[in-house]
Amino acid sequence: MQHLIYNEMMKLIRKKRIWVIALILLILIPIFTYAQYRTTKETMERLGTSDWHALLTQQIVDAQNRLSSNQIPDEWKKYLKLNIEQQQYYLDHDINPTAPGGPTFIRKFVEQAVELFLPLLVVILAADIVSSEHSAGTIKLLLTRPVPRFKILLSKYIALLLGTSFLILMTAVLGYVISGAVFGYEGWTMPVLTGFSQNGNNLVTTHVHLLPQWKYDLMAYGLAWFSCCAIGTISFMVSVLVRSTASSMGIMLAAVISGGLLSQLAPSWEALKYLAFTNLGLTDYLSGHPTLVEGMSLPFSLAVLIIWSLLSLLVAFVVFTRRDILA
Amino acid sequence: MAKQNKPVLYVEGLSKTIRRRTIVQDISFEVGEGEIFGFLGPNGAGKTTTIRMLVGLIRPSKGKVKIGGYDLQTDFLKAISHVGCIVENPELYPYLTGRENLELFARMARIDHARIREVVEQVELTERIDDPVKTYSLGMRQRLGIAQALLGKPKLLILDEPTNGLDPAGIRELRAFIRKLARKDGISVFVSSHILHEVQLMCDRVAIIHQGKLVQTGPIGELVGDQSMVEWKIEPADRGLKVLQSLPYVTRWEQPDDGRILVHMPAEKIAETNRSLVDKQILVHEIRTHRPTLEDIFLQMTGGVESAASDL
Amino acid sequence: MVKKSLWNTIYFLSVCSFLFLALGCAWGIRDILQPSGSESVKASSKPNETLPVPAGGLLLGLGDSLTRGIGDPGGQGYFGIVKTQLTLREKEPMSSVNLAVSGLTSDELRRQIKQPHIQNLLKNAKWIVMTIGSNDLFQSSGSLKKIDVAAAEKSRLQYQQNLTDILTEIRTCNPKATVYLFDIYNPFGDLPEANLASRLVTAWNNTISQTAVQFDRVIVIPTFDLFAMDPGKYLYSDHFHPNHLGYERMVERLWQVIQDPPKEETTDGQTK
Repeated sequence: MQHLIYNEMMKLIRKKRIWVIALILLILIPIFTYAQYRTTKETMERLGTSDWHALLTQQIVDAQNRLSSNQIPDEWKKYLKLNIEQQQYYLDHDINPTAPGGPTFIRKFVEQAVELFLPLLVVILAADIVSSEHSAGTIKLLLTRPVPRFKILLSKYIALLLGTSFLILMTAVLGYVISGAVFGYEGWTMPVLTGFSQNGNNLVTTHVHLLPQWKYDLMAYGLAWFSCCAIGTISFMVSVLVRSTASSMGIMLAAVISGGLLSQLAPSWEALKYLAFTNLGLTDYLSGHPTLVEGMSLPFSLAVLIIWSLLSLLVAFVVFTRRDILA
Repeated sequence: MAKQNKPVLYVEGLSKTIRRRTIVQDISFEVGEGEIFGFLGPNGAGKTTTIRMLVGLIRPSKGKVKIGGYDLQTDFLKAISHVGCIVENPELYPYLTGRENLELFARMARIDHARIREVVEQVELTERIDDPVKTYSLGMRQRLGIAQALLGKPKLLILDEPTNGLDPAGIRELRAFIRKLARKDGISVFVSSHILHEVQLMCDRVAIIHQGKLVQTGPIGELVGDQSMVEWKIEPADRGLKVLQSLPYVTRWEQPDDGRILVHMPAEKIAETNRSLVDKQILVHEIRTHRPTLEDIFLQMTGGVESAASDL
Repeated sequence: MVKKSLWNTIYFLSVCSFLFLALGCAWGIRDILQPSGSESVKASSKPNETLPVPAGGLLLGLGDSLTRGIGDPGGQGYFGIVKTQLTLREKEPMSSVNLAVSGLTSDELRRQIKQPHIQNLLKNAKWIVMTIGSNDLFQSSGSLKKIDVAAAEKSRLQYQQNLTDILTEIRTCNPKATVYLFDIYNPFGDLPEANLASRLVTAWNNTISQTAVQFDRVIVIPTFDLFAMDPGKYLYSDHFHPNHLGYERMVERLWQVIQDPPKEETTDGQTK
């Protein structure tokens, strides 16, 4: 089996697709870094101080003002309110949620990227893993070896999971190295608050505790990895079902993007929470970032993602092992 | 070479129906050890579908395939390990080098590096083996494809239209190579083609498939027969034709307008016929033998205009 | 081969990151589902003492939508304008924080400035500008058509108490900073019921003045007259908040007093 995985990894790496992803990261991370740098600098200029207490206080007051406006929908109001409460908590406990530094940047980055950016990269990686063998015709060579079909598919799946892991690692490392050049490489041991939970309209802080940032980062990237694996699994199924790489990538990109948009557009539409694409923000449960749709929790999101993944795998394996290779 | 006692490939009652359309219907044949077996049929006759069933890419709707004594359906791994194949084009991973491609397939069947070197030498690709496949010519890809097929020391080599896209020199080379494999190494070779001439030159036995059905199976000579088409340009034509008609071995003839006479007759009787004509003071300007085409065979076998015309 | 060793390294890294991330994921899930509550955080009792305040000083805005700048299309409000002017005047860099929240009442402000981090800001402020009271007044007095005089009077007394508390709190935190407190104007000056409303506003403004004089360096800046004659010109289309012109007028008043140096130099104060 490890020979098969080795083969699949070789194809994955040599196909240059992973380098395309690295290139995307190399272009985008500096842009994100610069954006972050600009925002902090602008707020600092506006307030004339680099004291984060003042910055955070101002942010809270700004959010409170937005809250008093009548034009925003109730779901957003609730979201804002929970956010304010959490920021207030940080302030009350004298902990800076955004102390600049590489480790903070990659933490913020993964929290932002987990819902859309990382899944898109995973789709790029996963969409052609089976379909490319069809479109290149190499599937005929692959399936006429003395190896059962399910083993071939399994080795591809494992290679995909490994590739996804490498992608996440690459994101973290590149993010750290690039942003560190601007914000500094310090801050691994800085305390970060976690353990916030949501009870209706209230923020529950009974379980709030401190984590050193390295530990928090590890957990956040671990959770993002889980989301990415789930998206990878669904893309994997699509890649088995669809013979052309372009259409399998198109289908998945459309699904990921519309999933993200839908939960923003219609947060009151509760059925949305059963979609895999609305449950990708696992890091929100770590940061205590409020969820937009009612009734979502970590076990719920994990269950949704796992069920979708298992169904996808089932479909993928059944179809792959039975299908006639016609073209 | 005579048929051996135990067939390497045994096919019985093979059928495939896709969406109610019967593509292959009730095909049976055997391929013996060291035999080169031609699988002849026009494009769209069901050759590729049959070949895909032989290597397990398509599940037959009915029928049985046995390779080296193992049933392909129930004993896939054992059966397929005796097969090396190229289905359609030799598609390999273009972004890997030739050697990496071979290593990849070698790992899937636990074949060592010594065997890779051996096969590469056999197909004479040693010089370019470490270049990426995307820089290869079609002929080199074909050879790499064969190297890949030979890796597992198969008893049966299945090649689907192997001469497609090759230049005449390449075709000759390939033909010699296949003959050598069969004669020297005792490998059975199953070759599909839509060119009768090619099959004639290469194969010991041949099966002809048309519209999903086997029309005939047998030694190549029997099938094609000693009948060939000989074109005569003689003067005077009408008297000459009478002479030709009087010969016992002439079965059919045609006389197009341009003064030529096309005669179906055994090729070895040309000298004899020529003498008969000359004896009767008929001037012979030109004698040309025509190789029968696949169409001719179909006409001959089905005897009907119907099947040949509808498909070709 | 270099190539080969490179992708072997990637393969190895992939396997490592797989294990590493799986561990992180499991750890994260455990931490969320079973928080290690032992290590819970206590509210920091001692607020950070050493705040890096620029030498130019801190301008702090407190109060309601007027300080927020509602009604000014540019969003500046008097606070923004005065901040720009101060920045131009001061040679050293200064900072500003606007803590005003739309719709804030005196009671809410009283509670807001009790928060430790806000007290921190108060402590560091050089100028404190505020508007408070309009929401108390116009919410309590009921609709314009039927002004409930009794209720308005009751809330005025409450307001007086709140304002006293607020100013006391500010003075306790920061005895030095000057507090510039705008009084209330009557946005309904051009309406038939203006008279009654104006009487109410005057009563409240008296309260503001009376309360303010009890404290050092609390300066009341009158605004009643600014919007009395031609409210349409200086008010925003909601007929309640000032527009940009209105805010500029407020700044004119504020600027007159804010540029005066503090009346008495403190002995240990920084000589600037």
